[in-house]
Amino acid sequence: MEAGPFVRRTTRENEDTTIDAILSQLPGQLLDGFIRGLVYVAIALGLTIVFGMLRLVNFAHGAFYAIGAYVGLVVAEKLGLAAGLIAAPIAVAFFAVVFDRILLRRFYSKEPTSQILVTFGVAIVVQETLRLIFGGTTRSFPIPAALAGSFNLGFTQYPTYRLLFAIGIVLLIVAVYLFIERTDYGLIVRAGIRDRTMVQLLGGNVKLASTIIFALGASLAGLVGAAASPIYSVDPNTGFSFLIPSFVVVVIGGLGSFWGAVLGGLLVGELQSVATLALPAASDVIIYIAMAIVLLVKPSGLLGESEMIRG
Amino acid sequence: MSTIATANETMLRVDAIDTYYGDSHILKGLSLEIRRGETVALLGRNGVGKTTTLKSIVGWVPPKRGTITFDGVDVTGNEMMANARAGISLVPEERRIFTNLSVYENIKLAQVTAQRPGWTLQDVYDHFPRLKEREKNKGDEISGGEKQMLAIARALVQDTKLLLLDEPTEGLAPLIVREVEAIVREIKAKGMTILLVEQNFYSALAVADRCYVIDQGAIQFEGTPTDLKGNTEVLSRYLHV
Repeated sequence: MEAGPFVRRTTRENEDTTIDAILSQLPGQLLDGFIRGLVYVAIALGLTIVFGMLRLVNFAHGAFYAIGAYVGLVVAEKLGLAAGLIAAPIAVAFFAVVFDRILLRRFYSKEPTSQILVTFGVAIVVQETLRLIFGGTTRSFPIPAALAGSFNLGFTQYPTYRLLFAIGIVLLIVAVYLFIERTDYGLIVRAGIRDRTMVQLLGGNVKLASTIIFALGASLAGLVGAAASPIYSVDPNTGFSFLIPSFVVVVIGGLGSFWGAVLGGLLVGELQSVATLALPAASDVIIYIAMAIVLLVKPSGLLGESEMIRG
Repeated sequence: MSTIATANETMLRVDAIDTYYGDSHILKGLSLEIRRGETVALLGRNGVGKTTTLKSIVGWVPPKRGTITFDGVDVTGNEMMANARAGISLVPEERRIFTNLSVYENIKLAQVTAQRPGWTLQDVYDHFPRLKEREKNKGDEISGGEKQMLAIARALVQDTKLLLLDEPTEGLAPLIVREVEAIVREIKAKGMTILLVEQNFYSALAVADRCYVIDQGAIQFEGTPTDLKGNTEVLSRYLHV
C-alpha cells in the first residue's frame, strides 16, 4: 500500500532535481549556444552571399574554416594569437581566389549537382591534406594568459575569451552588414544578387565583384576558424562539422538573405545547445527536424524571398 | 581616319549578323546603321528578332557571324560590361529594375558603375519628379510607368552615347504611354542617338527619323516614317497594320 505513493514521490523529486540542474546550467548553455550560433552565422553569411552573387553552392566553404583554423594555430603557436588572427584570413582568401580561378569559375554556369560534386571533392582533398600534414589528432590553441579566466555576468561566470570572441564576431557581422548596405561596392553586390545581367548592362564589373565577394566570404570563415580554435578544438574533419549545420542555417534563414543567416544561425546554435542539455539524444537531429518544419511551412526559408531573377 | 564626330557620321553599323539562341537561328544576315543624333525605329511583329538585335548589339547574345562597329571600333563579341562602358546603353523590355533596391539606389548603382558620369541626380529628379517622390520606395513598390522612367534614368546618369530602348511603352496605360513618349522626344531633342524597338507602330513613327522593318530575322524595309506610311504592302505584310 505504501509502495505506490513512495515511488511516485521519489520520481517527482528526481524530476525536480533534474529540472533544477538543467535550469542552473541553462544560462551558461544559452550563452554557449549563442556563441556557436554566431560561428554558424559567420560561416553561413559567406555561403549565402556567395550563393546569391555567384549562384554557386559551395560545399568547400567549411574547408575555408578548417584551413583558417590550422593556419591560425600554426602561426599563433610561433608568433602569438594576434598574428594567427591576421594570417588566417589572408591565407584563406589567397587559397579561395586561386581555387576560384583555377577550378570553380568553370562551374559557375553549370547545374548545382556539378557544383556540389566539385566543391565537395575539394573539401575532401583539403580535409585529407590537413590530415597528411597535421595528423588526425585533435588540436587546440591554448587561450593566452591575458584572456584566460572568467568574467562575472551577474547570473553566471563565463570564460573571458568566449565573451571577447562573441563581441568580435558580432562586430564582424556588423562590418559585413555595413559593407553590403552602406558602400558603393555593397550596392553592386546587392544588385548582382538580384540580377547579374542588368549590372553588366550598366557597366558593372560583376566578375571582379564576384571574386572579391568569394574571397571575403572565405576569409570571414577562415578568421572565425582561427579565432574559434581556443574554444572548439580542431581536427581535419572540422570543416564538415561546421559546414553541414551552416547549410541548415542557410536553408532555415532563406538562401541569399543576410538577416536570414543571422536568425537561422542563432536559432540553430541555441537549438543544438539547449537540446544537448535537455534532450541529449535528440541534439544531433533537432536542427534537421527544425529545417524540415521550416521547409514545410515556408519553403523559401524564414526570411528568404521566393522570386529571384536569374541572369 | 579622323575620329572627330560629325553630324552625319555613322555611330553604329551592324553588318550581316547571324545570331542564335542555342540551335534556333534568330537573326539571318541582319544589317542596319544609325547615324549620330538619329532616332531610328526598329519595327516588326512579335518574335521576329527585334529584341535579339538589341541583345546582339550590347553583347548579351553575341552574333556568330557578321560584325558590329560602334564609333569606328569593332565591338563584335565584346562583353556587356565593355559595351556599356563604351556608351551603349540598353533599357530592356522587362525594365529589370532591382526590386531589392530603392529607387534612389537603382540610380546610384548606375552612377557607381558608370565609366563617365552623365546626368546628375538633380537632373534626373528635375526631369522625373515622380522618381524624386518615390526615391525611398523599393523597386517593386512603383508603377510600370515609374519603372520605365527609372530604367531610362539609369541609362541617362551614365555617359550614354547610344540608347537602345526595347518596347518602352509596352504594358503602360495610355496616359503613361504619352508621358514616356514625351520623355523620349525630350531625350532626342537633347541630341541623344536612339534605337527604338516598338510594336506600337504609331508611337514609334511619331518620334523616329528613320525606320527599319524586320521580319524572319532580316531587315525587309528601310526608309523614313513617311515612306513607310505610304507603303501599304510592307505595312500589311510585315506589320499587319
